[in-house]
Amino acid sequence: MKKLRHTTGMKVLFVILHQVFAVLLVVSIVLLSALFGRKMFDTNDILNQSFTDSGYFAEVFKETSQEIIKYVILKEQFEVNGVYDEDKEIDIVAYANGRIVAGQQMDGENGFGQRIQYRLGDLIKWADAGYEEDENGILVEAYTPLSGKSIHQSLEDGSMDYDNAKRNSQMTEQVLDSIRSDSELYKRYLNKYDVNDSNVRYWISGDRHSHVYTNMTDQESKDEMKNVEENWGSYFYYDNVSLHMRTSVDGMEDYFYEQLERMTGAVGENTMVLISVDTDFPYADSFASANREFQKYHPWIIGGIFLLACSVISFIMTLVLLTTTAGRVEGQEDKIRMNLVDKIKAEFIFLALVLLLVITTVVAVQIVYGNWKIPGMLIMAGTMTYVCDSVFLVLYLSLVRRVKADMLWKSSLIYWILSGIRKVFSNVRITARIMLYFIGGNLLFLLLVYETFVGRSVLAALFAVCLMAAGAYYMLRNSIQRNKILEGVNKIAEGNLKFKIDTEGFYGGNKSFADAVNNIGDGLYRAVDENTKNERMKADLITNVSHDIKTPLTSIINYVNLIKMEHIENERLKEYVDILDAKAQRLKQLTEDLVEASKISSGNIELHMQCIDFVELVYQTGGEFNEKFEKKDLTTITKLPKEPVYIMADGRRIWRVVENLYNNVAKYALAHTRVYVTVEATETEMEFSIKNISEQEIKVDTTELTERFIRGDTARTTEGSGLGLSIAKNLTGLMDGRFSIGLDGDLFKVSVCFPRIENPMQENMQEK
Amino acid sequence: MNILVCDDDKEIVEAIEIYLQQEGYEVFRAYDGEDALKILKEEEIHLLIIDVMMPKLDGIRATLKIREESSIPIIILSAKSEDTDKILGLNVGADDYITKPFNPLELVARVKSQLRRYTKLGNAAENGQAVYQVGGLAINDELKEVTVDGEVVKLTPIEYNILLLLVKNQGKVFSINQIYENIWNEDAIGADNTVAVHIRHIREKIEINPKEPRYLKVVWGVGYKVDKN
Repeated sequence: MKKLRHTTGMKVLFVILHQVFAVLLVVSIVLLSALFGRKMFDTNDILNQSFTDSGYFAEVFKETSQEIIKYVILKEQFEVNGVYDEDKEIDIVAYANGRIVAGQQMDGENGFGQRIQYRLGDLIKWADAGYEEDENGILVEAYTPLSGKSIHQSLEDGSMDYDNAKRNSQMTEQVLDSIRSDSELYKRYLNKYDVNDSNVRYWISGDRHSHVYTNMTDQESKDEMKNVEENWGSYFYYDNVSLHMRTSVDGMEDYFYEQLERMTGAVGENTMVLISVDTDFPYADSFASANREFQKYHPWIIGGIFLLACSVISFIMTLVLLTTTAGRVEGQEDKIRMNLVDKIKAEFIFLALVLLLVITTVVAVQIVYGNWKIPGMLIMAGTMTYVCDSVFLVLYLSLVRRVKADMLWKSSLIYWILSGIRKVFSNVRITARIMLYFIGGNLLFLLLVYETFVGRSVLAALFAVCLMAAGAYYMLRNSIQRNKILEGVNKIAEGNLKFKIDTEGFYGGNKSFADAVNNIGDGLYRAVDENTKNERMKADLITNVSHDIKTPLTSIINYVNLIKMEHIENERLKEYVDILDAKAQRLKQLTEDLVEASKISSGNIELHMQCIDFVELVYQTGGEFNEKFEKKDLTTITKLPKEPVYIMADGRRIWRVVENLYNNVAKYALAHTRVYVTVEATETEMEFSIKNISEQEIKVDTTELTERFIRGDTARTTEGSGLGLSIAKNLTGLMDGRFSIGLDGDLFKVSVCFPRIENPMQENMQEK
Repeated sequence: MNILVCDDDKEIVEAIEIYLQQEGYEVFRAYDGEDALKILKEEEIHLLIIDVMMPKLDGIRATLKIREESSIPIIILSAKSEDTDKILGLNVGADDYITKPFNPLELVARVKSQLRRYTKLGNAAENGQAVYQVGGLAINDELKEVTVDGEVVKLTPIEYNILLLLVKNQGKVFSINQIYENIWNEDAIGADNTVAVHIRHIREKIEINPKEPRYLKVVWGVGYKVDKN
C-alpha cells in the first residue's frame, strides 16, 4: 500500500509549510508583544478601534499632563507675572527642594544658617561656564548672592559654620547641575504648549497668587470650566477646594494623585487643574503622531491574534505530520530509513537541542528588549525563527526516527560505551567475570558503607540499600531461571520432548543455557519421532511381506504332507521329505515370530494389563512343558514362594515371555541336566529366573543374545527363529519389567523382574 | 457331503481337495467370492472353506452375503493372523478361523467337527439326563462319558473330574490350588505341575489344536476355565 504522505515531495512540502508557520507564529507573537509593550494592545479591550479610548492615548495623555505640571513648576521658578525674567531671585534651598518660594518673603535663617539667593541670569551663566570647589570642598563662588555676602565671607566672619557652608555649597552645586536642562525644558514646553497650534489646552490656578497658568483666553477658559465634558473630547479636571475630579481618560486619576503634591508645592493649596485635548487633532503634535501610529498598527492586532491562532495550530499539525512521516519511505512502510544525522550519538543531539534553546532565548531577549522599530523587529525575528526552526527540525526528526526504529538507546553514547565494555566482558571467562562482579560490587558496597557511617551521607546509605536490593534481585532472578531450566531438563528427561522452557526475561548465560536445552529437546524429539516412524514402517513392511510368504508356504506344507501320505518305499526319499517338512515348519515359525518381533519392538501392540499371580503362571507353564522337558530328560528344580506373588501384566504376553524362556531351555539345554526355576519376592519386587546348562558353547556376547536373529549357535542349524529372547525382552520392557541374561561358562541364566503389587484386584480374586 | 473350497490360489484349493477327498467328501472349487456365491446357489453345499484376500469379492463380504440366506458352516482360511482379523471373521458369521500356513490334518479335523455339529448336534438333547454341554463338548455324568462333536473321548478319572468341575462351573476361573483342593479333597500344600500337566492332557484329548483351545482355556497367571457356550 503506497502512502502519498511518505513521498519525498510531500515531506519537503511539509517541511516548508512547517517553517512558514513557525516564522508566522513567531512574527505574530513578536508583533503582538511589541504592540502590547506600547500599550497599543490592550488585553481588556482588544476590539477597541478608537484612539482616544485606547490605553495608548491614556499613556500619551499622562505623559502630557506630567509635562504640563513640570512646565507649570518651571514657570513658577523662571517667570515673574507670566513673563520670563533673568533678574528673578532664585532661592537655592527652595529650588533644590523643588518648592517655589520666590513670591514669598522669606527672612533670615533657612535652616542652614542663612538664606542664599542668586539672580536667575547669573545662575544660568555660571552653569554654562562651569564651577569649581576649593580645597575644603566649598564651592568657588563666581557670582555673589543677592545679599552680597558670599558663603566664604559668612564662613570667615563666623555667621555660618563649616557644616552649613558645606551644605549650602552642595545645594548650590545641585541647582547649577539642573538649571541648565530645566531652562531648556522650559523653552521646549513653552513652544509646545503656550502656542496656538497645540491640541492641548491647560488651565491651572493656585492660591499662592492670583495668576492663572493657562494657554487659553480668559473667556474661553470660563466657558471651558463650566462645560468641560461637552466642549472637549478628552479632559482632566480637578478642583482641590471642592476635591472635585472629572476625567475621560482611563487611569488618569491614580496617576494624577502622584503628581498632586508637586503641583501644590508650586502653585499653592486650593489648586484647580484642567487639561484637555482636542480629539480632532487639528495640529501636528505628539497626540497627532500617536494617533497616526495607532491607526497604522491597530488593525494588526486582530490580524496578529488570528495569525497567532492559525499558525499555532498549523505549526503543531505540520510537526505531527512530520513526526509521523519521519523515516518512512514510500512503498516500504515497515522500514525506517535513517540518514547521516542519525549516526551522530543521541547525547550530542540532545546537547545541540539544549544549545539551540539557549541561543534562541538569548537572541529573543535581545530582539524584544533591543531598541528596534516594529518592522525591523519582525524581519529580525522572522529570520532567526527560520534558522532556528530548520536546525530544530533536523535534530528533532532525527530523534523521532531513532525512537521509531527503536534505536534511541542503541545510538546513544552510553550504549556505545556499555556495549564496548560488554564486548570486552563477554570475552572474559565466566569465572573471571563473576569474580569481577563480586569484587567490584563489594568494593562499591564498602565504599558506600564507609560514606554512610563515616561520611554520614544519607545518599550513600540509599545507594547501598539499592545496591543490596539489586544484588538480591539479580541472584533471585538467576536462581528462579535456573530452577526453570532444571524443570525443563527434567521434563525432557521424563520423555516430554516437546516441552519448551519459556525464555522470556532470560538474559546472558541463562538465556543461552535455556536455548541450548530447548534445542536438545527439539533434536531428541526429531530423532525419536523419526525412529518410531521408521520402526512402524519396518513393522508394516514385515507384516506385508510375511502375508505374501504365507500363501506359497501353505502350498509347500500341504504338498509335502501329501508326499508323506504316499507310501514311499525309498528310504532316502523319505529322509528328504522329512527335511523338507521340518524346514517348511521352521519357515512358518520364522515368519510368525518375525511379525510378532517387529510389532513388539515398534511398540505397535495393545496391552491389557491385569493382576497376574506369577507363581500360578510358573506352574501352568511347567505343565505345558512337562513332556518337552521329559523328552530331553531335563529335571526341573523349582523353588517358588508358597503364597501368590502378584504383578501387573498382560496375561497372554507374560505367558509368551515365560513360554519363550522355557522353549529356549527345551531347545538349547544339554540333555540329562537339571533346570532351575526360581521365583523370589521381596516386598516391592519379584524376580523370576531360569537357569540351564547350554548344550553348545555360547560364543556370542550376552547382550547380543537378545538382538534379533542372534542365537548361541552360529551355525543356525537347530530349530527356532532366533527371535525368542528378543521377543521376551521387548515384551518384558513394554510391561515395565526388567529382563537380563547372565552367562557363566555353560550356565545360562535369564531373569525377569517385575514390581510386585500388594493386593490383587477384586475381579481376579478366586473365591471358592 | 459337499464341501466348497474357495481360494484364489489354485494349488491350495487342489491340495485341500485331495485331503478332503481322502476323507470321502465331495469337493467343489471356486477361485473368487462371486464364483463361490454362484456355486452355493446351484449346488447343495454342506460346508464352505473360504479365503479372505481374493479378487472380485473378498471372503468377509462373501460370508456376510451367504449369512443372509444360509446357515451352513463356514471356515475362514486366511494369511492374516492378527487377533483383530480373527475377531472380525468370526463376528461376520464364520464358524471357525484357520490361519495360513495351516496343518492340513488340523483343517480336516475342523471340517469334520463342524460337519458333525451341523448335521447331528442340532437335535442332541439326549434323554434329558445329567448331560453337561459346551458347544460340541458334552459330558454325560451318568455314563462317565465325554464326547466332542459326537465322538467319544477317553479320559482318566482325574482328568474326567477336572473337566467335569470346569464344565459344571462354566465361565468361572479355577486356580491350580482350587482345582487340587476340589479333586483331591486335600489342602494344596506345595502344589506342583500335576494339575497343569493333567489339564494339558485333557486339552490334547478334547481339542483339535491344543495350543488354540476351543473349550478348556488357560487364563495365564490366574487359572483355567471353560467358557460359557
